[in-house]
Amino acid sequence: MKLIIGIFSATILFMSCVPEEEAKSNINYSSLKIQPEVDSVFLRANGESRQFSIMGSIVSVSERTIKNSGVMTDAEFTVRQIDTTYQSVDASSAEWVSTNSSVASVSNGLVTARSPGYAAISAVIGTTSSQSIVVNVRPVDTAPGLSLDPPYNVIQFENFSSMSGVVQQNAVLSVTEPNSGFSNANVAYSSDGTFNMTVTGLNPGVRTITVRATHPTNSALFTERYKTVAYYQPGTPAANAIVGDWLGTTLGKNFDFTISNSIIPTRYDINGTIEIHFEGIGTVQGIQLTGIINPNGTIDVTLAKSHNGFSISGKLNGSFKTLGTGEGEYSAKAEKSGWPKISFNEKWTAVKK
Amino acid sequence: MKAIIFAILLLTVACSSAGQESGEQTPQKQKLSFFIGAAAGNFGTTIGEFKEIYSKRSISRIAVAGIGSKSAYLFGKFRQFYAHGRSTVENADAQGSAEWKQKFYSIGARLMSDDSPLYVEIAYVISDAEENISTHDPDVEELKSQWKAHTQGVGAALGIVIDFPRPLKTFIEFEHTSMLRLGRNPYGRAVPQIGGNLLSAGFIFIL
Repeated sequence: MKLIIGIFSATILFMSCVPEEEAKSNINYSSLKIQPEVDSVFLRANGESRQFSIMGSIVSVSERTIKNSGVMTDAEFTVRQIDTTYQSVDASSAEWVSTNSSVASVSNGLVTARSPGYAAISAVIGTTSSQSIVVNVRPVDTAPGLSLDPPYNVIQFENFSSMSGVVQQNAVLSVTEPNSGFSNANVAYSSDGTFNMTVTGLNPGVRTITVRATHPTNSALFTERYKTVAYYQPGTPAANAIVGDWLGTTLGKNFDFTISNSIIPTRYDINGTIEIHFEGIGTVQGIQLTGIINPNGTIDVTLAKSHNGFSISGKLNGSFKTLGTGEGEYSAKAEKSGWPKISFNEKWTAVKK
Repeated sequence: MKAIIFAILLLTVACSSAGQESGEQTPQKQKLSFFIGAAAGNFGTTIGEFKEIYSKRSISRIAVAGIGSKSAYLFGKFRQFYAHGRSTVENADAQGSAEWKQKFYSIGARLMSDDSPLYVEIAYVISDAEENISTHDPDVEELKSQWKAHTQGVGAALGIVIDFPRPLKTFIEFEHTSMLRLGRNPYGRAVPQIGGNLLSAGFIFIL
């Protein structure tokens, strides 16, 4: 007598945001996030303050057994569903921690600058801690804080470039690119210091865009950050230097791709294959990698392959920093009816052969 | 292979019977009779949920052959039965399918004479049953299972013969089969009795 019965478990992860007005102190949060989610903030040592709030996530797990029955035989498997719900938490219900209270103190999420220096702020409820936010407290009369996101070099095929960042409040923000004659002496930013702006009219070649945050009353105090753009008109020898065979690397495995001129004049095509290891499935070879390099230098590539009933898909992003190198991230997922979805993100790098 | 073994067994029993008959009867009564026939019938299992799952049930096809005197025969019988239906899917919006195949191999004795239209049988029965379940929904298409059961039991039948000019006779027969229970499946569910009742009609040639 022979009996074949397939049993397998599945995990489906659903994430949803359901803000609620008020937190309950007896809730065990699986994670906490300080809002807004920024890596660092700039404050002046004149008692400047900043209010933070927190979001908590609650994970609930439920299981359901799916069964198929005949007269003599049965088959079943169990689906495990994990729901993660985020809700606002009353800042006063958390214990707020500053790693250096003499630099920045914190109470109920209100961070107050005390003296120049650095302090990390986090929140704790029960045994769950939030991420840390670095508070950079600067002297009253010092160069304003400024950060660009991301501060990268990129090859692009259009004569303008967008950028974003965070600047210390009250600073005067300017952006210039002298070679192209671009200058914006007073760039607007929001109340939390974030800004987005576009530099236009770039001349071909490697251009360095300078972003400067100047003290509002002392012009000798300023902070500068730079973004380097290699702007080449498509089809020129300089731009076509990226055309050819490339060797990529991710998770210690190499992959090959080719960049060629696109029939669309402002683009370049990318074609190749990549090998990805999926937990529970194994290594899938020959995943097709197809896409373009956009005029702004970003990469827009999709991954696709069918493997043993699984549909492998994903997206590969990134940019070419200088002639001959590239880097970025990709997301990959494997889906099959009746199986849990497997997905992850990973970084990649590449060099021209 | 099973059919060949069954045929050899039947032949062995028949020859043995013939030998005994020839040694004990007078020359006039030593004449052997053979019969062979076919029938079709409606098989109903004793499994309560069978009809709920298997809405499409085939007619049982039966073949029978025997050897003996005019009143007592040893016989072998084969019948098979198919059914299709929907398996029961719980906790998923999916439609299941089920397929049932069952074969019976019987060997036994039949008391049948020209003096009476009635005959009775008692037999040793071997049954091979197979059930396959699956689903049509791709989301749960892995919900497949197969169960094969080989078991044995006994059968008893009562029939009525309607005479036609010899050698043809027709008959109507009721047979009950009871098989050994098969315990429980890996999920702990008791496997039901897979015997049942068969009402059939057919014809035989008696030579």
